[in-house]
Amino acid sequence: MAELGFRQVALVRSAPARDRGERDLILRAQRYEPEALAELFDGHFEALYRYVHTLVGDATASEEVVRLVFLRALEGIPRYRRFESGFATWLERIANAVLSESDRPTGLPAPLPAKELPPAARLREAIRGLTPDQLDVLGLRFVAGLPADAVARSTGRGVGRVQALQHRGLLALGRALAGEPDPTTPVELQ
Amino acid sequence: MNQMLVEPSPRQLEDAIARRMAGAAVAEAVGIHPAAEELERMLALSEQIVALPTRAPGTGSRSRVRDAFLQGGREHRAGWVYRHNLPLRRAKHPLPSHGIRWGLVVAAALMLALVAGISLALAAQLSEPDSGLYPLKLNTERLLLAANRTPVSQAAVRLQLANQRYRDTEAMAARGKGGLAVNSMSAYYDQLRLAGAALAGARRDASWKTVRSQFDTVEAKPIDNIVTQLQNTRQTAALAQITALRDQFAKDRKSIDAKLNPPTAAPSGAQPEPLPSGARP
Repeated sequence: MAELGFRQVALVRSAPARDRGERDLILRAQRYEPEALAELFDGHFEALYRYVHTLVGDATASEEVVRLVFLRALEGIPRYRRFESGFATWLERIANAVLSESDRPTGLPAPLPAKELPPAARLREAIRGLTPDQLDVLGLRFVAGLPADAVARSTGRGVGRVQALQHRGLLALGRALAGEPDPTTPVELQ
Repeated sequence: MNQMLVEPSPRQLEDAIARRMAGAAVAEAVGIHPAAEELERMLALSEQIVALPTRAPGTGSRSRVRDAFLQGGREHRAGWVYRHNLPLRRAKHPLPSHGIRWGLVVAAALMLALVAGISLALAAQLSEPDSGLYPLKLNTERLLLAANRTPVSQAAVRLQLANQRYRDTEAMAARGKGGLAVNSMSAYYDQLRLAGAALAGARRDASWKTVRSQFDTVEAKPIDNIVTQLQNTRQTAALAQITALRDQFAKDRKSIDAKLNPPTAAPSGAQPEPLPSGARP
């Protein structure tokens, strides 16, 4: 087993939202004040891009995902209340939701990653084949580097539920990388 | 994947990840465990995710996304301003003016006071001389008297009041309250005297006759029951006073009756002429 080691929240993250400055900034952004929006963007773009690029691996696709995330953030920012969880985490969760969306019909298993792909690309494809909940937890846990209780707080789930999703997500990921279909995903009825 | 592997529980996986994050070696993080092999595989997988390469965005990418974001922000800002700065419109049913609202408040307060007063007056009507509301009852009776202007109607009201005083006397005597019984008895006779005086000065018509007959009924009320009650409650002083009041009224009654009874008509038929000598035939 390769000794990769964990990076300790390697991404460039802004100060947590409990910071009064960011809270005020978000409150102003909720009124769509251009200066506040620009400041929020400048403070979070790079970290979000790195997060998305980790999961996507392609510059063009990452840019498109980040663009969608920021546009969705514009829609949702008036309802933003999770100041204690951090604005960056909120953006990352939107990114997880965007990455989970695909044209795959509901109920069909995700296509297995092609064996000829490089290992990192296979892993990314396998991650994007996880369920939205599993992707949400694994992304925040291992890409954003949040501890389990912070993931629980920011997603509104219990710690036990986060641990279970993490467990099932890693199992599903292992099966996908081994070329085995996920037995828990229902197969389309003919 | 080897299906014979024992799967670790979510808690065991979390503990292993926490130990690894704290800097423990893989073997130490996994520990001696039946599911150690699978745990190690999952730990390795998680570390592969952590180690996925990433890179910083290009400058072109930043400016493109920034422009799109700020353009979207401007569009949302226009909507937000429109929603939050709507011009004031005249209400379909405007509120009444300041003066009218105060008038309504005062009218409501007056109405409330009127209802409270009426309720109090009605409650006072049931009160007796030993009640705190009794003075209110007497005032209400004065208003009733003032409202009746003709002598006959005043006499009728006074007879009702006399009846009331008589009942008050009975109640007070039964409760052993001699002083209050004497007061009520005195008021009873006073009302009778005043009613008699009013009737005496009134025109004799049908209503007068009705009230006149009521007068006879009310003034003829026996006081035996009251006397018995006072004796039973040992109110001897009150008993003596009430007896004196009765005797006094008995004297006054003769003069009242004299005023009320019409003079006896002369016998009908032709009277014999007096004799020239002055002697009657």
